[in-house]
Amino acid sequence: MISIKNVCKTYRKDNAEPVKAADNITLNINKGEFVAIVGPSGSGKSTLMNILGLLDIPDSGSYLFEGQEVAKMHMDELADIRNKKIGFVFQQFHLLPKVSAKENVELPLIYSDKSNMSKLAEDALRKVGLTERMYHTSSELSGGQQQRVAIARALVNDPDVILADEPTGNLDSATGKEIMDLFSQLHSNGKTIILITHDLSKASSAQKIFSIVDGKITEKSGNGSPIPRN
Amino acid sequence: MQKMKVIKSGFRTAWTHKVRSFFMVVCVIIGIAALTVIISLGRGTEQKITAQIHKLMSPNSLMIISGSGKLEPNKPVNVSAGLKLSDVEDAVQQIQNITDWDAILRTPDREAQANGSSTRIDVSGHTPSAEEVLNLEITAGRFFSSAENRSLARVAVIAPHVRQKLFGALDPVGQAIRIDNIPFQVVGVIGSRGMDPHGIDKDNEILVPLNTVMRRVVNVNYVQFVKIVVADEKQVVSTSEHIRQILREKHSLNQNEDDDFMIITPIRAKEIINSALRIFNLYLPLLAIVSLIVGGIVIVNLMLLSVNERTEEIGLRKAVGARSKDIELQFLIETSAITLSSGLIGMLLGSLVFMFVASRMDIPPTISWSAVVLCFAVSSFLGIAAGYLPAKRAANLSPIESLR
Repeated sequence: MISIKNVCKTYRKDNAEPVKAADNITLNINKGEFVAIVGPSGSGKSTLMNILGLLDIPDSGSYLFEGQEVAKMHMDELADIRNKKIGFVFQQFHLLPKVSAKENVELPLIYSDKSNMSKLAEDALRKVGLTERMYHTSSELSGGQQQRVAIARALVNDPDVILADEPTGNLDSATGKEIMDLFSQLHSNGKTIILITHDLSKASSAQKIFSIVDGKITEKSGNGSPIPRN
Repeated sequence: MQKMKVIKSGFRTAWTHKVRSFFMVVCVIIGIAALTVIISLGRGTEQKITAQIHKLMSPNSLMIISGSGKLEPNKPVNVSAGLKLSDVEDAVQQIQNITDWDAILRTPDREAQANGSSTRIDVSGHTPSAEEVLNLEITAGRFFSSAENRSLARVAVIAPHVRQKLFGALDPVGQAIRIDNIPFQVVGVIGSRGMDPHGIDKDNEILVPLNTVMRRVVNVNYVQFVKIVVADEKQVVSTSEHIRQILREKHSLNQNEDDDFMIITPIRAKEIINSALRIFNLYLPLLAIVSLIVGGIVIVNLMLLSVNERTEEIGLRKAVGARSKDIELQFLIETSAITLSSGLIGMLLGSLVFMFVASRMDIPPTISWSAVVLCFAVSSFLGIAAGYLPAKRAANLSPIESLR
């Protein structure tokens, strides 16, 4: 489903050494897999997530998404793939303030060709167990609930891939565990999950773990079966 | 379909950010309303004054005013020399083009008593030809005659407010009236003439024969104004020059002395009006432009702040599949919804306020739509540009940059 080969990305800032955030990375992710990308902060994992999520374009190397070369695609085509095939979950939730949970969940549907926005949003909120809070604004929700709204937003367009960047980073451990269980559940429902985290313990549900350090993939573990917890 | 959803989302967001939208809306509403009022008031006042002057000076008439410099800035006022009735009569006899004339002597603030009540009124002496020269409308009785003027008859024609104050519902014709204790008889009533450009209430006047005023009321041998009607309006200027020569001769003015009278032709009147109206034609548009610039800066700032504050939102929308075009459309809708709706409300509000003020100030209630629409267009353009351009810039950023 996702295949990247020799991908490089270098960030240059004025008067500073260029930072090689992705250095010759090659990896494959199959449909329905639960993959974790683990690395310390500054290791380049967010860059990798941005590239995987089509939010950023690599300087070199090739990226095939469902067999299509991403580099050849127009911005609008990338936006279309992000809309239909990828669901994002961010560490900072990135919910719109002042609008209800339901409207937040409806956001990706605005840019899709689906018409029954309201029902789809309600379905997605039901999947994350927030039916009762759908008319609350984000400031009226707890951190865990906000992340659930973000997950519902990622799910609402029924994407193949869920890309989660430190989804539990801003949550306490109990809430974090609930969220991770939700990802496991989504995985068992057939979604491809890509989890980015600095915390290896969070990656326990993953079938494959990529370790990244200084922009390089250093290690891959797991062979298609979930790594046993602890 | 998708476009409709984006447009709906634009309206929805404008509504969601009520406080921010409110300030932008208020700013635009106040600006446009103020401009509507200012510009329309200026135009209305201009129209009112012009209409009044036109009522006083038809194209085939001219005015001689005793003394000089009264209406002209930068010239000393000279009222020492009188304009004798005989001077005027001589001039009239010599000039073929003059068909009719009325000499006027006004004596303001006299006491009038009749029917047991009294009031302060202005007495105005006229020649009998005033009926035609001033185009007076007789609503009851008649105007006074030449014979009455010659014989210093104590007859009076009263204006509507005088009639109302002294006689109420009674028929005043034939009734006695005392002006400064001199007994007169009312022979007629004239229709309403309103205020003159100096703010004098022409409906609070009693018109009496000129000779009667000159001999019996104030005892002078000069008049203050003469209104002259000419046959050929194309020759108004040459006629006025001719009158001037005759009057200068009569007043024994030598070459280096200024006129001690003024002759106002319709052309000269227009010049005087235009210089008086410069304040409306120059300063009001200037004021409008300054307000527009200030309002524009406020709108631009609010829009820029709002868009910059929402970079994250733009990044998020792009991450979940919005194309740059969608973001641009959304912001275009949002900013247009805010600026256009508030601009329209401002125009409406301004028009209502202006209508109210106009009715109170007796100004023609014509709204200067061209200027108002121009202001509306400029402020809308500024608002939309200020909201749209930074949004366009943000829409073209990579989503991760905006999300950071």
